[in-house]
Amino acid sequence: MSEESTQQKRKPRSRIAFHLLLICLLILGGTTWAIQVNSRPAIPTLHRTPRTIGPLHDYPMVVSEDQLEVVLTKIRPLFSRKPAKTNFVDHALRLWGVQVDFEGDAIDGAELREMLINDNVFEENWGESELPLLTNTGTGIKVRTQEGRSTVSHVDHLMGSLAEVGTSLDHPVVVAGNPNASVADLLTNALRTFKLNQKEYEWTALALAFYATGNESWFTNEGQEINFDRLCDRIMRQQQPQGVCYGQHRLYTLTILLRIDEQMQSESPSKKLLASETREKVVGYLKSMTKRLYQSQSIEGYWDGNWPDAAIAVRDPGTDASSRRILATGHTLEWWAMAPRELHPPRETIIRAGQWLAREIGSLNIEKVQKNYTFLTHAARALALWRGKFADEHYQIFQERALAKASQKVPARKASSRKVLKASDQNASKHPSKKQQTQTVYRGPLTDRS
Amino acid sequence: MSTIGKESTYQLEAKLPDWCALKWHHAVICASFVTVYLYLSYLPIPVIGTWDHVWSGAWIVSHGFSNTDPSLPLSDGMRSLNATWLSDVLIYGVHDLGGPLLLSIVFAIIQTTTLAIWAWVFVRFSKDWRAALLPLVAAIVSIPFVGGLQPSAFAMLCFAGILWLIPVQANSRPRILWHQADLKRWAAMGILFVIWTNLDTSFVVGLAFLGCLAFGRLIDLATQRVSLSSDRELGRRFILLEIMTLLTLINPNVWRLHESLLWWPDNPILHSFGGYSPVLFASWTGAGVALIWIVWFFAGRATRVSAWAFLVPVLATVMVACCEPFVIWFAPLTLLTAASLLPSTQMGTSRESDPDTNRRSDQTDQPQSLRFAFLLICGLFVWIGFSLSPISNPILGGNGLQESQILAKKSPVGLSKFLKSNRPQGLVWAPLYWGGWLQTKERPMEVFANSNYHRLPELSQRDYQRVFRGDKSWKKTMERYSITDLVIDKSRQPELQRSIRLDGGNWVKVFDDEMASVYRLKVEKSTQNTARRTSAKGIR
Repeated sequence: MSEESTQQKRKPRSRIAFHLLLICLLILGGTTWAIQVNSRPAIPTLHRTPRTIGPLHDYPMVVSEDQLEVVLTKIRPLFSRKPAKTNFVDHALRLWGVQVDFEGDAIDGAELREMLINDNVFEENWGESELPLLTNTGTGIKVRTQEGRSTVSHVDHLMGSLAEVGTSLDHPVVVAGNPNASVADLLTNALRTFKLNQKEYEWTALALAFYATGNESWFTNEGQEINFDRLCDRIMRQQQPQGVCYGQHRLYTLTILLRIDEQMQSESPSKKLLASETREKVVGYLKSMTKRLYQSQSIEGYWDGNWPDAAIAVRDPGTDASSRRILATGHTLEWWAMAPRELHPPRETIIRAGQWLAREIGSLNIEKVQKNYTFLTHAARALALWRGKFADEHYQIFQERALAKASQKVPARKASSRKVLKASDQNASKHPSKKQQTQTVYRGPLTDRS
Repeated sequence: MSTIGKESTYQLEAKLPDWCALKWHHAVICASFVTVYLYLSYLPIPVIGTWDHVWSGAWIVSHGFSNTDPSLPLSDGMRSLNATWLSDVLIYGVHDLGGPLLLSIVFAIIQTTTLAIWAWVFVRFSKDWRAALLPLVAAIVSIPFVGGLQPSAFAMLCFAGILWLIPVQANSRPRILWHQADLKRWAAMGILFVIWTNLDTSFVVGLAFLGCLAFGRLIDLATQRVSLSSDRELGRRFILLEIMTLLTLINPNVWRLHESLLWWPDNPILHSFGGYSPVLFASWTGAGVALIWIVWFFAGRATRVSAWAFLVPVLATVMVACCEPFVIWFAPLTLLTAASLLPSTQMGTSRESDPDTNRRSDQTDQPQSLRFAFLLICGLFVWIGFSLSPISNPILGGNGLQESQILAKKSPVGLSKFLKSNRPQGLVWAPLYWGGWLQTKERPMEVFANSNYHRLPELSQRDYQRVFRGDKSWKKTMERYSITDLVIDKSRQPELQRSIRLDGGNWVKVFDDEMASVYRLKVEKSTQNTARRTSAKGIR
């Protein structure tokens, strides 16, 4: 009897123990699950080295070699006002890349990059009183933006430029408070502070696409899930020509996203940057933009700030017309140069635009070049791309050609060099050894050469 | 006992069961509830709340479930869950069937039924007829948050039903005796829980209540040093909690629903209760909370308080302190515990529970001819309530209510009529409290914000506020979101009105009435057209 009663007592006790165990398991499981569902990736998986997206076309009718030589020579990073605006430096870096070695006073590509990502070099140029361009924060490295001459002008433009010139994420960055900083910290900060509805988003999208491994989602600090499809929707949402540079950066970014998607699919059919529907939408959108551009092109060949519809008024009529037109035309030709043929207008449209742009830049004086340097880098880059190469590659060829001519016609050497480098760079002919060095260093199209 | 079959000295004698011999306090309760019903019948549908659910229900019926909020394009990519899908479909169905009038009628019926069940439950817990008036106290305290048919109304009804199913014995300790529940009660309880889980996120209140019952019993036994293993009631309460928790899995969004319970900081359950909005003590709600606690202390002053009767109001108070709209749950729950604490002297148990004594008392108090007088009076009240409410119109005739009487005064009727004939071409910025209304009246319409504003990314919320206040950057913000139509509430947005009047840019006024203005983005035509106008046939 006593054993039975003990067993009877044990049964309810074991039942209670079971319930308590169940509750404990529920709490434990819930906590683990809660941690899991709330820890979402803030950064997608990335390649350490960016992709190379090169030009697709070589149309000599758009710009002749002589015209291009004149244009590129004018847009070398020769800044009369010292220290050079950071905005100019990062645009120059994007145009010229890191491999270019200029003769004379023009700043070399590697040096341009150091001016942007090395705090010590920045301090040398701007002095100790100026706030540094880079700040080490809890979320990576922050770039000061739109805070005056010493800062960059577009959100994440610096990161986009670094990606386009082939800078690896492991490339060291010199910044106070983080001895092991690298470019990855710049991108991390860009992504961790990114908001889909922020004012400028196109350069962040562009930079990220260069390092992307696929269309992997990540989450902003607002809790929003982002992927390249959503970025494309955002880019296409805003009406044209709203946004910076008359909305043309958005078209360029969309074009590059299409190209990267294409490249990924060629590597492996299962790999994609964009969903098929998004790709179709983007192609349709860019075609519609091309159609509008075709309809609104001026007789001379340029576009203005009202490029989506010439019947509407320009939003900033008080600004210099020539600058506006170089800006609109240069940016347009830049994304078309990277776009597949199906997105192009009739070739005549491109030729007339290219010719107008080359003539207009050729006629600019030094002051105007300095004033419009940022727009001009886009225009010069566009013209270079329409001849099938990046600006530094063209410049290299021009230098080689000048050298060859100089060696054939020794008496005419000085004159030939002058033609290439113009009067502003009279020392060019005095450093043949540097030219030789440039020739040996160059190794083809832009890759990670850091 | 019945009077049927008995001999009578009167010529005309009512042959009705004994329970029909109502008393004066029944008439008082009846009159109170009829008054409440009439009040609710004429309560206009507020502009915020109900309409969002009508829209959502229509979406679910035509498109099915979505992992994002389809009513807010800007919330794309934000985690969201529609945990009120069944309520939305029901509300949409009611609106589809009878428009705003039926929405108003169904709201009044559901609320009154809920209060009536609460009254019945309170009386069962206390055995004191005065407890039947406590739900009216709860209703008065909750009045700022009551209005329009919403998921919480259905949820309240479910919870009232669940409480009705709990076996109660007023003279015993504990009063709740779940171990006496038969299979039917278990089944009914389960069905109600499944329905509740699909109606509204407040099913967690039900689970928390059952948790308090179970753990409260555990605490009671532990403090009394009674063996836990010998208490059947404890075991049954835990089993009840576990089974009801399992039954919440019967839901089309089962995985996501349970995952969403753990989301942080975007927890949809907390948002469904109103988010973080601490209650001010110098407010209607604050005073109400204080009043209810006074009632609780008064009820429990002379009795030993069971742990559950303490846990429930404490938890509810913590919730209401962080989230003011939670008062709609706090008030009935705390008053229920207060009812359960009423001492036996106040219960009138000897009188109520003994039918023989009751009958003898009635026979001495009232002449036989007037035994059913209060029944007739109650009937009269019910008839008055019916005939004066809009529900009687189809039977008794009459003009019925005009739309302006059914809808809240702040409903922008003229605005929605305008937008119907002048459809916006893109995203519309409108005050969030008009968002759901405009979407329901003019489908499909994309709005910047509606009552699901909390689902927008933080930057968009800030941008919404910026435009609402008429900050200097409002035009840039509109541009960034590609907004084509701007709706202004004239009474609440004077700054924006002034700003647009002084420098509206390309925003042109296209509609104006005493309540709202609509501005539409216009493109400026160029004075000199330098462009060639050619056909686009050359474009592939």
